[in-house]
Amino acid sequence: MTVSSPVDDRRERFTAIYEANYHRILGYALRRTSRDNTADVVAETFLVAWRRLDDVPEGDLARLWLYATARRILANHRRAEQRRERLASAAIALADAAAAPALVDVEPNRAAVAFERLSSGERKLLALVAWEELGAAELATVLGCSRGAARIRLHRARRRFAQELARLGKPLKRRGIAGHVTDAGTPAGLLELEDT
Amino acid sequence: MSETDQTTLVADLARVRDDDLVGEATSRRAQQLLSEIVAAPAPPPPPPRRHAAAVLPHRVVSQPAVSFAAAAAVLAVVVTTGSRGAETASAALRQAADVARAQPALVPGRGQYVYVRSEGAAVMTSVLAAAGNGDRGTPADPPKVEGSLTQNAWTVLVPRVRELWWGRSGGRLQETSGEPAFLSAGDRARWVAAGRPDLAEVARSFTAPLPPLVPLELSSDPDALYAQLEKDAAGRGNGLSSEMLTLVGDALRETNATPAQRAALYTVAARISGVDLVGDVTDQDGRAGRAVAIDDEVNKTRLTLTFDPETSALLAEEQVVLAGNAYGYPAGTRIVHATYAPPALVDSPDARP
Repeated sequence: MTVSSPVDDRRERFTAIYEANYHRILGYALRRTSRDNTADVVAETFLVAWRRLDDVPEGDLARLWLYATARRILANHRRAEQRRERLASAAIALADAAAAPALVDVEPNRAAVAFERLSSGERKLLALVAWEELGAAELATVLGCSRGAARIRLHRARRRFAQELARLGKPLKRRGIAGHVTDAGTPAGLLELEDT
Repeated sequence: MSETDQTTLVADLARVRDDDLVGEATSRRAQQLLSEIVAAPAPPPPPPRRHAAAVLPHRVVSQPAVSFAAAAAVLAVVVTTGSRGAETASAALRQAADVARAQPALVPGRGQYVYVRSEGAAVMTSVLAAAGNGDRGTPADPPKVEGSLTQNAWTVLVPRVRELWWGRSGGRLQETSGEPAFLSAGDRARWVAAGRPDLAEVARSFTAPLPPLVPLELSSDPDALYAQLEKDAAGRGNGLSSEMLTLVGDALRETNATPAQRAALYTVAARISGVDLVGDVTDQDGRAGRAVAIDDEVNKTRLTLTFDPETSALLAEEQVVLAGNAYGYPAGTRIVHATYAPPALVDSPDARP
């Protein structure tokens, strides 16, 4: 008879969670930060999960737990970046400005522009629903708020998005392959959600 | 535009979709990461139960044989040497803030009451107003008296059970005191020398009406709340940081703080300097919790708050004296302790869950 040790059980459970969710956390990070940071966010998220495996809920809730963890890690990265940015000299800022991609040739996507006009919190909510396909209850779990609060915030974000779309007024123009907006067609910083 | 259409529009803005990444977990890079992670040290086994001296009998002991502070220090070493070694009080409190934010609000409906129960003990010091004039003295908050409290005063630890029924149109507080106990033989001797004043004066049981439940006037913005508590804590004659943590504890217990306010309170606590992570502990009621503590260097006391990391509920608190305290007690002597039951809704101001 083979008896598995607690260590084996632990590894087995973690591996199952990892393999079921790796692509989701990878996608979550890719959609919100640079490719350079993505690897760090994914690694840190799963390292936290490994260390706190007893806290990771069973079943599909593990996915939400990982999103919430990734969200905090991403926020920490952003704060660190912001601190570094504050320390940067004016000379560096000028150099960055010179190196910034020219956007004049890019025809703005109406939805992208409307999305960009939302607050970071509103973008974050809509992105979790559209990109991670979360429902209101799942949204509440990831954001750490009540379901009612999540619904209300989501409703407001939807209303604001609709208002911005209406303000832009032109016909919708979808871009990219299979409906995706490519990096080149996305206004700079649009998808860099400030996830705090 | 329908919600579905709107969602599709936003979905189209994503750089990449999860469907495009299915199978990435088997990539060489992902498998390498998996190997590295599972090769990391495994988390430690559950922390040992608290030192026996830290789980004192609920009723008062006059002179703890072993200093709680010493026991706590040992415990802290045990807990923080595991893989949670990198965890700090700040991280633990921020985590509690996240949990608090996700908790449902406990809002009483019409005819309902929020029932809150706590059980514990606190010191009451009686000071002779003028030595030798026969005045029996009055109860006073302890360490506010200049100089030593050992000359014309005696201190007792009074056990209390507090029950509150908070309702929309008012409620009720009931406090039941137990038998006071002297904290030291010296306290008893001074009480005898003073003519054995009636100790019931400091251990009265009573019931009182409570005003209607109103929203707590606390900002849910951590920055604003920090400033508010810092201002409130200043000038009270206590250490600023420890007083701020005390105020945080005050707002977490026996109040109707919203989840957002509770989250802000924990966030503020995470920012207070000098807060130590005691670690995972078991409170007097046998509940698992996580404890943080702070020393008040002015009054030479140490405050410990224990909260449930799963719910963020405040489970217990404790105050012990440090070396050089105004009472002259051995370091580690407990002067306040309490445990808090989870609040619950009941249907009348007499009902208990």
